[in-house]
Amino acid sequence: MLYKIDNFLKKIYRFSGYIAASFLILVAIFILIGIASRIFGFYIRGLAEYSGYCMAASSFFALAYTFVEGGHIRITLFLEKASGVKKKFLEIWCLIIASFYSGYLAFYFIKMLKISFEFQERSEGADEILIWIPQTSVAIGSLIFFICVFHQFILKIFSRIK
Amino acid sequence: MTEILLTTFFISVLLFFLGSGIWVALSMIGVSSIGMILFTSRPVGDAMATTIWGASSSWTLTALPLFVWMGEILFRTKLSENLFKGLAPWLQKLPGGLIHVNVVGCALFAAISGSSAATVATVGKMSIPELRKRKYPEKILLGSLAGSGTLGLLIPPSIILIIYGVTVQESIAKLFIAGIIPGIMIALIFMSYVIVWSLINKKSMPRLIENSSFLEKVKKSRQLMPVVLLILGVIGSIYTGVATATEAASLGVVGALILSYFQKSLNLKTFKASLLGATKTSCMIAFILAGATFLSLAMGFTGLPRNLAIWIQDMDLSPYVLIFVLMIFYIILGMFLDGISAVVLTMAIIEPMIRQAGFDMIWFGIFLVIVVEMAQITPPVGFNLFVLQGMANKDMGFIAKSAFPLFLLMILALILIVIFPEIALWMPQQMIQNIN
Repeated sequence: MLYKIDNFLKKIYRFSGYIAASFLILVAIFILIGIASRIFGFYIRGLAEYSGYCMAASSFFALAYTFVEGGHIRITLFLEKASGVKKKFLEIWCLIIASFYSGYLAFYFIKMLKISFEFQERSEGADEILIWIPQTSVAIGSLIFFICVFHQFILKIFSRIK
Repeated sequence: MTEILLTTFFISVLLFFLGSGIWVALSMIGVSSIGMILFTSRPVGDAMATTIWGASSSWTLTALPLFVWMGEILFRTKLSENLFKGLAPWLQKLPGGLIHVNVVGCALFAAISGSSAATVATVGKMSIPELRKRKYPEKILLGSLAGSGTLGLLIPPSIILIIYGVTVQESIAKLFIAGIIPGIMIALIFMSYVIVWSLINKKSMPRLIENSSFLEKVKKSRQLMPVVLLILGVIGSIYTGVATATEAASLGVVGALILSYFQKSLNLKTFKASLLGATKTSCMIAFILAGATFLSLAMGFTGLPRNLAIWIQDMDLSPYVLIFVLMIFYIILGMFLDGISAVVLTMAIIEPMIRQAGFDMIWFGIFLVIVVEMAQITPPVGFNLFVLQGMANKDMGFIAKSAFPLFLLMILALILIVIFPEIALWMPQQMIQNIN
């Protein structure tokens, strides 16, 4: 059972990484359309904003995937020197703080999304899009990130000391 | 008084979080929210969400993943092989022989990649085994590679210049163009060093010259032409103002895909690997930048940057002294932090001070990047050292020692840029005239 949950979560992280990658392709496509529009003289409203939203979506959907792949930067100077119980203790400390603040981030992104949705706020840019639509991506992305960090925390607690 | 105490507490928590190994971006978010609670009564979480959303969805940031992706695509082509084969026939006659391939190869690769570790890895993949086969001394082989790899940061496109530009809101295009001459200058300084070193240590240098005619040389380096064209296209379009940095980056991605298609190294596997690699790297950087915008908001409430700027102004230092102090500060910081974190963490405090002192922000960006370059080859935390340690099977102390002369040469380059700011500023000024 636990093993199944573990596997399922891993799949979610990987999947959200793929979503992030697709948004990265979209960033490139929007910018290429922008170049084409200038050459051929047509105009599409809010292209720059759209590529910005895709950038945000790509960054936040990739958070969990990057985390499990060890892509986020940290200072490992002391962590590398520690061993045994000390190391496990230090790792758990890091994951507690990381869980707390990633949860904090997810909570307030979801709150921001809720407010934007309730007031039907629109973007101030040329796109004038309902702002909750792009904000959904960062809310979901940061939520998956929190789940991922907390997941690693649980795994670390039950891991054997090397 | 309480303000000083609170500020000290705030900075100590930051150092403690970072030092204990908490991920840099999360450390910044955590410390900033603590700082906001201490110094203001504003709703912290909501301010955080809107600030981070605003920063992460900004259009200027989009140049970042695209340049990273372009580098990732080219990294997976036959480029390292071509670099070696194409450059070797031209450079072997110089004193120092094929060691120059390290320097010139790094400078060339730096012009398509914004990262120093990738530059070292790509050039080293071919040059370490090839130069070892020819019995070049390890000291100059690895030293020159570690040092020249740092050019990846300075010669455009440069990830760290994008980060700096976004943080202090200066034109990324101008920063890129400003990096060109200093980058070439440092490459020339390194080449002179290789020449001098090899003349002094003549006995330990191998003497092999594979004679080939001019035509043969051209033939061998023909493979490099597409890459050179791509570089000229990307940088040229930024310089002439035809494209913004972001647009040049997206064209660069297309160019890189076409190039790798014709070299038959483009398939679903390499495409996926390059895309996921770029996604990860740009996510890591975007997250740090998100944390940094929140940190600079919180820093603003502490009053620390403002007070520091006033304090520095009251001391009435000469600009040279201030720059010297900053250089020492960043070198020490660079020993323990990677370049991106070092820039992002400090700019919130340093920026007002630099503006107050009347420095040109474009010039300071170039200065900062050279100092960060130096940080790549200083132990205990130096990314080029880590990469080379794995590739060359030598211990880090040896590589750091071999690279130390190049570290000193970079200080020389810094001094030149402080005395003659035009080295960095001349090209961006030409560019403005071009556009108008």
